[in-house]
Amino acid sequence: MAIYLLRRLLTAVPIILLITAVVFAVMQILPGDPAVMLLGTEATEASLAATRERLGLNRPLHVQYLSWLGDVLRGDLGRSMIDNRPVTTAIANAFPVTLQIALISLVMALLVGVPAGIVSAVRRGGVADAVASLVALSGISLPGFWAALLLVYVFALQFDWLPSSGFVRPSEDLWGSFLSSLLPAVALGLRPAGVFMRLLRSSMLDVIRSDYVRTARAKGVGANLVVMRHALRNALVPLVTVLGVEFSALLGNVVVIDTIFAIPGFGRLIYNSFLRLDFVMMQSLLLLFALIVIAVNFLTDLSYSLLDPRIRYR
Amino acid sequence: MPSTRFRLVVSIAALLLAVGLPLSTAFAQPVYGGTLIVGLADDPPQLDPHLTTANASRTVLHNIFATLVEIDAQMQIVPGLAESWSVSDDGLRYSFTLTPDVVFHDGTPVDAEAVAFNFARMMDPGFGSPRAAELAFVDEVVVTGPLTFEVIMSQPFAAFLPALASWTGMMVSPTAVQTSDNFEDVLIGAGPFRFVEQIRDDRVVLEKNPTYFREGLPYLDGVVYRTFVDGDSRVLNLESGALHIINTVPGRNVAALEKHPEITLSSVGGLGYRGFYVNTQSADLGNRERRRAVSACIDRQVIVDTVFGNAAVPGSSPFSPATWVVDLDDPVPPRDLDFARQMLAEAGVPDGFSFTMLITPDEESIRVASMMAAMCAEVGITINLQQTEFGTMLARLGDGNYTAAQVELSPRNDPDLSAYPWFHSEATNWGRLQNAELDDLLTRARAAVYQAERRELYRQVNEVLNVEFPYVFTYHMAEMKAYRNELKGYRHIPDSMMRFEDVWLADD
Repeated sequence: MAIYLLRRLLTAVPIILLITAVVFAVMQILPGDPAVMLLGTEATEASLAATRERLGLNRPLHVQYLSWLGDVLRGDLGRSMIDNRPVTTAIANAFPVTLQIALISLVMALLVGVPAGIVSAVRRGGVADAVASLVALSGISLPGFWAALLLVYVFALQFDWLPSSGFVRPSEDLWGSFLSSLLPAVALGLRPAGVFMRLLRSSMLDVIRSDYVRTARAKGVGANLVVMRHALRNALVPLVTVLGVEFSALLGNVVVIDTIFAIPGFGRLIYNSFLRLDFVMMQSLLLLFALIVIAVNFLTDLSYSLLDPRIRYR
Repeated sequence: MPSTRFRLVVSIAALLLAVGLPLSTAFAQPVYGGTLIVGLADDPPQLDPHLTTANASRTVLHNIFATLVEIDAQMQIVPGLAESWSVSDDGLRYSFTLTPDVVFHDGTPVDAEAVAFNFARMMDPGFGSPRAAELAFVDEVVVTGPLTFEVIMSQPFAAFLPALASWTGMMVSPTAVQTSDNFEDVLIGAGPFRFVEQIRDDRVVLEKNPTYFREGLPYLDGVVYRTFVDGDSRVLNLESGALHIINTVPGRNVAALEKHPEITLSSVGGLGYRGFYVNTQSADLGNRERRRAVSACIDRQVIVDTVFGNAAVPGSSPFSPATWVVDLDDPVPPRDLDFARQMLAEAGVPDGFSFTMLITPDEESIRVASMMAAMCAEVGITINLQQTEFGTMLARLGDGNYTAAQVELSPRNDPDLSAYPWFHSEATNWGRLQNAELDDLLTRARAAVYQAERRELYRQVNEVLNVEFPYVFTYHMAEMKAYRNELKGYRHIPDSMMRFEDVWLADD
């Protein structure tokens, strides 16, 4: 196991290096001049040149790349080209916000998706199955931005139960923070909830038809126990895979959700830095994003062995 | 027998009842206190008034930094930090007198030395201020007394005073600039509100300036700016009461907001214009007759009626009907397919031709461009629409690597700023038109001191533009603000900036 861990960590290094190179190359391919974005279209050529000089944009590409990479390895992500704040500060402010919303969202998706999946597999073809499948398909098909606006309209405008926008930090007001995360989390969680339900339903159906479940039933194990101990545990392995994938997808979807709910999260940071061609910020954000996806995949792989003792890593 | 004094009291009371009561209902007494929550459409990127180019920043800055002069709702220049000024007949010498006893938020005086410091800061090439372009003709700023100074110009520049009513006229505290590590962290001005903090990507917080030079103002305790990039979300938050006012109203929400019982929709003529730039050096549209044919195919009225309703007016000029340049009676050229076919024949392409137009991927641009394409298709002109984001479009406009590009030119408070930078051959001139007559007219209009003379010159500018078409003008957006009814006293100035020094929040 330890050897496996070490090997995984070592193989991550070239992947991360490759990602930094690709990210850097993509930034260079993107059309547009950060100096123009900064100074406006009426700026003189002299002031544009001075700004490019200040931002280090006039250095050869490989120098720019290596100097950035060196700084990153030393833990210095640089400063925003637009507002000069340290990138680490910006990320430290935005990331916990997104993490909180994403986690609440995933927990809610699991709380809804898993029981719904079990019920519809056990009562396959019944009314509960039909209703759950309809809701799940709607969750998967509804565009996030539209669901978000609908949620604001109903829960903030019509009933006035939840705030229509903004984010309260847990340090300011814990309960208020939870309430302010609720609508964005639901908007984000609709899709994974539907995905979890569909997936669990089909993998449960596979398992329920398998020999060992039939054997368990024949031994006289109670119906509930069969479902919970034998069927569910084996059906969870594919769910964990999808959980990792959906977590990464959530981080992408926060761009839309942050925009609609005016949340100072990761999505807002990405949106603004792309809009303003803030290369330094964009590079670091994309790198962070890639690191998170690698970490989540790693954790997902590790969790397989916990769920299914037959899976062993060497 | 009632005494004289008693009768006097009775008549005064009656008079007050007769006059005062209706007045008090019509013009309710301002109420002090409360925090105004404002919904912006973009995050303000930078907040140093001498460095930023973003309108989202400028609308915030107008409440932190007082300007040397101001503009009123009729777009006339009125006193600000300068209580009076005069211009020499040749337009080369401006003499200003500052309002006495004005202090910055840090208590230091707003005097002639402070103004000179501000000009020097903006004109310092090492500082790289975007304001330098508007001060290019300033030779010298001479301090003539504690509260008086003169600005000597190298050539007349009619847009100078309007520029001083905008961010070029925003005075920063010299002491704060010299003593702070980063001026953006402190932002000391002399405006009605003091800067408290900016939480990036979240909010900007301002509080009342108790030493504001206008007695008794502001009424509000503070202002908080929040950003809602999504238009629907901005409107929903206004409806829910989470916001008091929003600065940009999406066209599709206009009809609903007009009828909303708790919301006031205020609309004045906007100063910007929309249409598309044409590369006059390009293969497909380098020929003038082709450009004239395209323009003649477009039914500007139908586009406005279909896409914008009351939110825009058709136009064929860089000068909006809200400015003093344009008479409202000036007709907008009607659609004329016969003329378009005649132009196509003269260009040697009687069956039409095709070209590519860049558009940004927002809903309104797509609808307008699709309608234009359908209109032009009737005479055989095919417009291929290509979506690209704004940064890319700017780069291609700058490189000349485009044929046509739909781009809005932002509202400016003087006609010179709406035309000269965009069409003079030595300025930005993305249309790449080389026309000596146009250059001459724009230069003379910039130098002319009197409005009547400038109006006539701009009329001629417009005639040239409507033959050469380096830009096919289509419509002018109305400048709209939507606010909740409890917000009182809002003065809507067409430059789109929101000024809150004299607004208040009613109790109800």
